[in-house]
Amino acid sequence: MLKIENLHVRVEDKDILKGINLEVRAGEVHAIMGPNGSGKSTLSNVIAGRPGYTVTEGRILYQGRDLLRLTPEERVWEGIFLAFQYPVEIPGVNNTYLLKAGVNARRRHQGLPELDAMDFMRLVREKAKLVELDPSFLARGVNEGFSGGEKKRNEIFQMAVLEPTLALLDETDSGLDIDALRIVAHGVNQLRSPERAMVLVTHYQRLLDYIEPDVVHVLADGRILKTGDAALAKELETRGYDWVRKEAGI
Amino acid sequence: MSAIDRLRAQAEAVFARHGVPAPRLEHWKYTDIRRVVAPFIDHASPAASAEQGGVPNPLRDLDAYRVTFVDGRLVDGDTLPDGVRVRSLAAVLAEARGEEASRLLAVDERAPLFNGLVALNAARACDGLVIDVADGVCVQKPLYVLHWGAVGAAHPRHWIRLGRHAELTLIEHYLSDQEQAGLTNGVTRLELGAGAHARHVRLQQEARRRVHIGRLEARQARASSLVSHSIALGGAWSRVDIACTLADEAARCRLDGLYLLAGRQHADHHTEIEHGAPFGVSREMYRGVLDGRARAVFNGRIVVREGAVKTDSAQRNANLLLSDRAEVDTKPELEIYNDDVQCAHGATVGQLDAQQLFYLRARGLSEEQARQLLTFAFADEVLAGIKPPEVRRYVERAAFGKLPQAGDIASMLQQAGGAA
Amino acid sequence: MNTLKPEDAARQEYRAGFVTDIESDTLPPGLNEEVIRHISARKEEPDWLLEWRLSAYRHWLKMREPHWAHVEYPPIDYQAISYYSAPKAKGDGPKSLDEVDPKLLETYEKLGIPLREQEMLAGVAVDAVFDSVSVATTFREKLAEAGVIFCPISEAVREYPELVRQYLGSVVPVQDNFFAALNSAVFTDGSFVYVPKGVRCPMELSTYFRINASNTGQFERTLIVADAGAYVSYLEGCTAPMRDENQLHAAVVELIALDDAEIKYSTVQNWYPGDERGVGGIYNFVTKRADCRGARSKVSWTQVETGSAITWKYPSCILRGDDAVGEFYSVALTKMRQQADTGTKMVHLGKRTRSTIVSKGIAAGMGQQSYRGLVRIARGAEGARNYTQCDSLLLGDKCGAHTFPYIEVKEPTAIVEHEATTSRIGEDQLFYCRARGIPEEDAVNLIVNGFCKDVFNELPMEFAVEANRLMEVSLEGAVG
Repeated sequence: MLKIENLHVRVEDKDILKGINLEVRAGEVHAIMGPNGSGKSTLSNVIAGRPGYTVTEGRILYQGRDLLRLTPEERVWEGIFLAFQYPVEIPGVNNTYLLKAGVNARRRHQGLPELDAMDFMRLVREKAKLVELDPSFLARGVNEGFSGGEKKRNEIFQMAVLEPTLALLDETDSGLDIDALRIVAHGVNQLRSPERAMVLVTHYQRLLDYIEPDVVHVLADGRILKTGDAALAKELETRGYDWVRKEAGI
Repeated sequence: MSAIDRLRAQAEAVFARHGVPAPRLEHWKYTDIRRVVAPFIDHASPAASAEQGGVPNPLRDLDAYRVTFVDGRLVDGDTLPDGVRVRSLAAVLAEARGEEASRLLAVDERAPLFNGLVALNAARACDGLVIDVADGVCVQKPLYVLHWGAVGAAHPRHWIRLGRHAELTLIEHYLSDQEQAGLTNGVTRLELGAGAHARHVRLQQEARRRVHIGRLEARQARASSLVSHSIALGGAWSRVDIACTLADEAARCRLDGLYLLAGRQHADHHTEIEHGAPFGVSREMYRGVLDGRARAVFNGRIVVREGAVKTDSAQRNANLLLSDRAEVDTKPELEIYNDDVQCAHGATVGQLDAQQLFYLRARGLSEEQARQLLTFAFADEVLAGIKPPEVRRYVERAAFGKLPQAGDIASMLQQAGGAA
Repeated sequence: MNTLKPEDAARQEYRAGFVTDIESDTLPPGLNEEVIRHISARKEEPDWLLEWRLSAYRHWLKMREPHWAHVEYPPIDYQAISYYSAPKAKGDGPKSLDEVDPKLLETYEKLGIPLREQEMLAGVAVDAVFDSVSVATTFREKLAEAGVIFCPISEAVREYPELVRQYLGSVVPVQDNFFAALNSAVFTDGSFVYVPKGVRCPMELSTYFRINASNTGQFERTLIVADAGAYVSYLEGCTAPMRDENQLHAAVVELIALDDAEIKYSTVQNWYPGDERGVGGIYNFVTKRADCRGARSKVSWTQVETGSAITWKYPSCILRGDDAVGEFYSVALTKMRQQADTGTKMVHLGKRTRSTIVSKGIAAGMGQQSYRGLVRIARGAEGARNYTQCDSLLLGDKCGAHTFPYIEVKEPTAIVEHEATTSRIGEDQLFYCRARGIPEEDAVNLIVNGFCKDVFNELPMEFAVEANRLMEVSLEGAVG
């Protein structure tokens, strides 16, 4: 589904990613782990199309097509979703309205009829339950005055509504207490399916206690240094990252 | 006619055309000094051998290079270290080298906050400091300039240039004879080379019958920084204009000020920060405490020119009115010609926070003490940034000496100091 | 959406830009005492009003056009303007919509203000002012039952001379300012509203202003009086055809609120803004002021200003009565070469008077946008409070946004807070919306509408919808 080949990315004047190779197949859950500043967030931002990142070499194929040619919104319409590490507040813009505009733009793109207000509300209520989001949040401004945990839950809720094919979760566990973490993980697990792939970007093993990954990658210094299964994550938890670096000869 | 005489005559002509600023000018809307300034316009400067008797010697504990002016004339000064060239304006003009003289006496009518008094200074200034700090020279001790006003009018004119990566702290302290009326009309110009850093403190404690007009003009090159504190405590009338131009990339300035007024004092601050290049940062905080029938004016203008992208600017003005006869007029202006900016400003007029007052009283302070303490804290936020610490302490004492029942505050200060 | 060339896009955006071909009775250009006498005679006015006009004119002759606003425009030739233009009517003015020229009704239909429908369905009473005269006022009987007077001011002068004489010019005196003096001398029509003691006006009142004739100035005068305990909500909408020359609009609005009375005044101003190159467009020089004369009286101004080449407008409140409340909610958008200098004055005289100012400015293209406001707390206005929030959003690197707030406080127990920000549309916000599947242009609209929400919330429902739509239309092609 997603194939990244020799990806080099520069931000301002700094090379952040220095040759990433990664393949994610439908139904798989990948975890990308690594120390702070390793380029984890850069990778998810580049896949989602955030401006300000320059790809200097390599390519990203999504469902066999060149992903880098698409605008951020076109990527959403094609089924990519990024759950942000720091969801921004947009005062005055209603949460539900934002989602409805997004969902209907995608439906137009897919040649489907737009959802009317009733159908959409039904969908939204159903998905809100999934992440135990208080429906009153829907009527508020986008992330306006939300706590850190509420913002993260809102991200998972939006993911549920947009039903992506490829979901990128950028540090979704950071800043969550144990109860919120469990709710978020539950939401994510509900969305696991043979057609859907997920990439979890995380610093800690904590989230992986609740969402078991199929593949674990260690990203450091802009490269994937090691790939393994869920056991690798546990090993990282006890031994840290340095040994991977040494092993890779850095 | 010598070149100097010609420049003087030109400046005099510009003054004649503009006159003393009147309230019909937007920038002088709230401050009408025409009547109080009139007696000193044609007041000849006193003779060169100004009396030095009665000149005070404050801030004795401050380790600084000291220079003293009496009625706008240099009377005494320490020698500055290598790399700092100091001359008196009078001496430079006496040499009468055309080019330098015209640089020092030029009048630019398009300069921000220009008014007739700026031209008057150029026409009448008989002395001042002309300082060049060489590239890379960090002047370790502050330069402390005492301006003593004995009688009549003074028009000091300073011209200070900092080379690349040079550093200087300049403290201008204005004091005058309590028994005399008079006018101070000073202009200080700062030119900061790339990466240079300047601190400027204006401590205005003029006598109660004196009119104080001051102007600080700063022009900043790439990545230079300026920190300015303007403290207005004295004088019957005071007006300080600060115009700061961030002429090249990544220059930064901080303009802070405090006006603490009582009786019938009137103090007016006009500041203008011009962001002329990308990545500039400006911060501004002015606070005022007004008692009696005092009146304060604050006008802070921030201009962001086309092309000055990534500008980051924030300005605050806050005022406390302690009496029902006091008045404040404030106008925080933004003028922005470019979309890649982050600018915020705010102004408040109000009283002490009722909850804070209650909290202090619940800890056993009398209401009066609590008020004093909170007023002190309000003003001290500005003073906290003043360096070196000897100057900060001096300003704190001078400022809080003006508050009613200052004795209590003094003892609180002492305790606070003792604890620290 | 962006297939049109920029010049076409500008034309495309202004949907009210057509001209109605209708015979009109128009005075030749020029202004002198004769013209004023003529207007007064045409309106069959009493002598006192003619004298009042003439005194205004004589003041005006001695005044100079103000130039302190942050706007630039070529000099206005006051002798090249026609000061009176009326659609030719058969005999007297229309008594009901049936007597209104069908072409006029059609005009209002095209503007989306179907007078008939409004009468039948919407339950909004409408006064339609076409060039210099009022052409139709709906719902008069129903209002009369409640004792509410809503009619063209020219009619009020004849029917309710005492009321008009008592209040006209009592808030904005003839010599108040250059444009107000001009208006006082030559005003031709406008709306008059009187809501008697204790009456809550049973429906929204609204006036639609339309400038049609060329070389014509529109000088309407609106006077609204809410007697003790009364309530009224009044809406005003404005459009004009696209013409290459500039047209002058110099209106005066006076509001008077007595004890416990409340007036809500909403404006959606969409005068023709001129084109991409700054050719044509309305010069909108308007004086709007409310006198909160009574204790506990309240006036709210809400404005959405998207039109006009030049806007010079400061709806104000004199908070005279104790506990009076003044509010100002404003959205102003300037694009292409539009210039707006707008804001408010809140003058606190009474004790515990409160005011709130929320101003949202949006500048795009080469638009220049200024907020100019005055908050004055007089000595003795104990416990007065003001809160001002003033934000500007910039779209494009050739526009400008400026803030000139004057704050004058002489009362130690007052609390005044002013907050202002200026920034471009947030990159993070834009990316977030796009990462949820929303195309860039829609995302900009969404964020801009969110930015304006605090103001739109103050508008009556129908107007809020129109305002939203107007913003979207106005932003088309303005972002890029």
